[in-house]
Amino acid sequence: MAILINENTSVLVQGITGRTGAFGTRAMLEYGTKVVAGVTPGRKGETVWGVPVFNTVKEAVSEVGPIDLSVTFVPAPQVKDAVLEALEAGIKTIVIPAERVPLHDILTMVSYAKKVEARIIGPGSLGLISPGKASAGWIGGARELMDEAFRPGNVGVISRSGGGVTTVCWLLVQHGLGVSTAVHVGTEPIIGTTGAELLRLFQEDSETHAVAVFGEIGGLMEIEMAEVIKRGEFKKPLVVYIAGRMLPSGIRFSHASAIIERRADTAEYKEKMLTDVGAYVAKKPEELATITKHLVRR
Amino acid sequence: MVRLYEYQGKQILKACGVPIPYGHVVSKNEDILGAVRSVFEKVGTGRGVAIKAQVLATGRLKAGGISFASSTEEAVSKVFEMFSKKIKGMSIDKVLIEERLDIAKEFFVSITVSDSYKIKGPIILFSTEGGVDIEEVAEKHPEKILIMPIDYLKGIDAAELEKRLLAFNLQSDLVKKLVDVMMKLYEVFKKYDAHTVEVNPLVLTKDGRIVAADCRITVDDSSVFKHPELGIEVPRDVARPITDFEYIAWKIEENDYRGVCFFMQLVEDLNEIARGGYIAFHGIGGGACMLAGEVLLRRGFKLATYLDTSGNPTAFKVYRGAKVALSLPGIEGYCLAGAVIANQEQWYHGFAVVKVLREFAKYKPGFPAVILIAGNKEAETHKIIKEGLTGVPLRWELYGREKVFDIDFIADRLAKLIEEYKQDKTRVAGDIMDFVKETRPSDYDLKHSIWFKTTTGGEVYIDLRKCIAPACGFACVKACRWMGTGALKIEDGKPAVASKDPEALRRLCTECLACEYYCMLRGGNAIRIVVPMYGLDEVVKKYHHLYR
Repeated sequence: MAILINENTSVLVQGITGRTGAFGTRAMLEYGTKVVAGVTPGRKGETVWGVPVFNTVKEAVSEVGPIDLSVTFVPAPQVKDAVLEALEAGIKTIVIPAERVPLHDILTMVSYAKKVEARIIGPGSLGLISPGKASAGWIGGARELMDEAFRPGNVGVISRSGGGVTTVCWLLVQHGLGVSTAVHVGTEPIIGTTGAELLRLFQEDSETHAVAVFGEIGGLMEIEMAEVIKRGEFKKPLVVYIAGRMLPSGIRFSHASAIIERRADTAEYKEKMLTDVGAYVAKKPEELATITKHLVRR
Repeated sequence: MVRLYEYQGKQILKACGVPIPYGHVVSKNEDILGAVRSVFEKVGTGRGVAIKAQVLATGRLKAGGISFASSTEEAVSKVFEMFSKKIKGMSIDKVLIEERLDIAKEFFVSITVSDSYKIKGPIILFSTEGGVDIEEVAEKHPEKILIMPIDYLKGIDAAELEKRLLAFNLQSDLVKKLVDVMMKLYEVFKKYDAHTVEVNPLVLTKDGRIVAADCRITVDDSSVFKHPELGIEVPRDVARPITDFEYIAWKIEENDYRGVCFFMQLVEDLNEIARGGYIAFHGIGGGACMLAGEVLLRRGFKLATYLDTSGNPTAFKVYRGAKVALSLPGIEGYCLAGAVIANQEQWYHGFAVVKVLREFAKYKPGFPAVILIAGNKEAETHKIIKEGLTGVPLRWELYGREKVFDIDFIADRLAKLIEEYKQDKTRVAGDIMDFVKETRPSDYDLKHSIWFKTTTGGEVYIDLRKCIAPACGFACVKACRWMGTGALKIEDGKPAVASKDPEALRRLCTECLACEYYCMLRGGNAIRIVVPMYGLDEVVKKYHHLYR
């Protein structure tokens, strides 16, 4: 099962000829992902790591057949046009790696995706991976690290930090555990798919027995996860670590959302909300693995 | 999010048809008497004027940033008094003098963005309780607050909004006026790529006018480039003015979307940093920064900088960020904390760190540096750093994934090295200017060199007199093909540029610094790459007295 991506998912890469596009494409191909086409306007006829390049998404779809997911390796100012093009061509899952995407562009994309019932991951997302099956984006970066850090298993992983996702997966491997799907939700002030929504998808996934979250100060993610549990929409064990305590409030720490502005943004408050609904709070990153280990076996 | 000053926000509101109080903004050295008189002439002497410090802090009234006056003389003296104050530590450049409103009722109105999974879009926040802290109202009287999501593709549903406002028992002509103002605020929100357009209070005057008595607009950081008219130089989320070093760091980021270089000076006052005890903190990725920053702060380290280079940045970008951090006066140590298993290929960090630390070692030999790098291409990166720093006079140590969660250990090592450095009686420091100045080859050297420009203005020089190719096995060309996309090629037994077209070369060079590194290690040290630093040397010169 897994969520959002598996071995049958066909993947398009927009901006495939760029520096990060080519890097991400190689990582996905090395991992066995079905990358079926790439798009860079004006570069039709070229190939990148053997993947055919087309001028437009529609052209790619008509040449290679239906595409499930697109990764947009496009610089931030051009992301909106690329994503709308993919949505108009009927692609239902879009991963946006770019950071610094203009806020109102994000609002446009997210609203449009809602209207056509598509899903956006990101912006600012390294992507997602269902270990042993497929990956989208440049999560893991290269085959040797992906093999080391990601093993198939029964834990879902969520983080707003790209390094955080890979680190949790790697930790789980150190403790003999594996991952169903790991998702980097992205770094921007508004993201297409939040942690709370992912919990609901993991609830439906029979392969996922528990979810581990590398959280951080600021933003609503962990608070809303607690809400979803409280409403009974997520019933599996949840283990959360929250990074960034002791950092001064009012200063943004590179992730757009990592700024303590409200009482509800602090690590302490989030931990209390989670504990109150029966989630497990890890005091150190390693505990994400040691606690989860007991939960999965039970 | 970039905060605009009240007076800037109000000018925007006025231009979009939202009524604001009559007012005049003045700087310290402008005609204050003239400004005060003009306001009194316009509004009469009946209600007097409000004098409002233009600072980016909330809670101005309590902090003494707002005062009132009923005569010209009183107003002038209060304006002068205001300029002499500091509000929450911030000095005041501008003061707004405006008519005092005759208030019948105060409302709270805000158009903002909700990151809740249920919304993920703009919302209208409205409350019948204006002029007070909205979070308090939300806690005590949630029934007095309206939260209405807006469909971004459609805009505000005016009929729906009217219906919802009528439910607060407001008269229908007032509701119509409120809806009209909210529609206009939403126009402002869209037009200025705002995150928030907040008016608190929105005043109903006794003569029935609706007036925006205050205004707080925050503009999205990533959209500032679309709004040169706002004159925002550096889009960063701070309540204080941007520092000179932050300005340089922003220039690194401004037009280069390859990865992220996020730099904040955690201590604004350079004198304080120069007094000693501070380290340059440099993390790789937001998660790593938070993990490591937390431990270092708990262990009592004083961080002068928060620098994050991640998202697959070029080596140039990492080098530039580290260079700015190391350029702060009196820094006593450097910590590169890659405290996660990173996804990006870390070798770009490797080349960058080697270059910047080799340069820094000439200025401050013996300087302590602890480097933690883990993740993608960890082994290769460690090799690059080890070979690149061998023999360099620094107290440097390098750790990998085995220490990725043991930041306490990293802290121990850093503390130990700093202690050693401070105890070192033979410790000397050169002139910081040697570290930050950008030296280019002389015309004579240029005659014997091939050179080209990179996409962010860098210059790559290959001095053919020093070049030992083919004895080095064309280390630079190989490095360029391996790490980059082939800006160099072999021609007649020597390295050469792969294209005669400067534009094509700019595209081919990925600013990875690998050619310079491998020529230094394997070849004749014939390559020099000048990475322009957007005037860092001028900034350092300005504070030169702080570098001992």
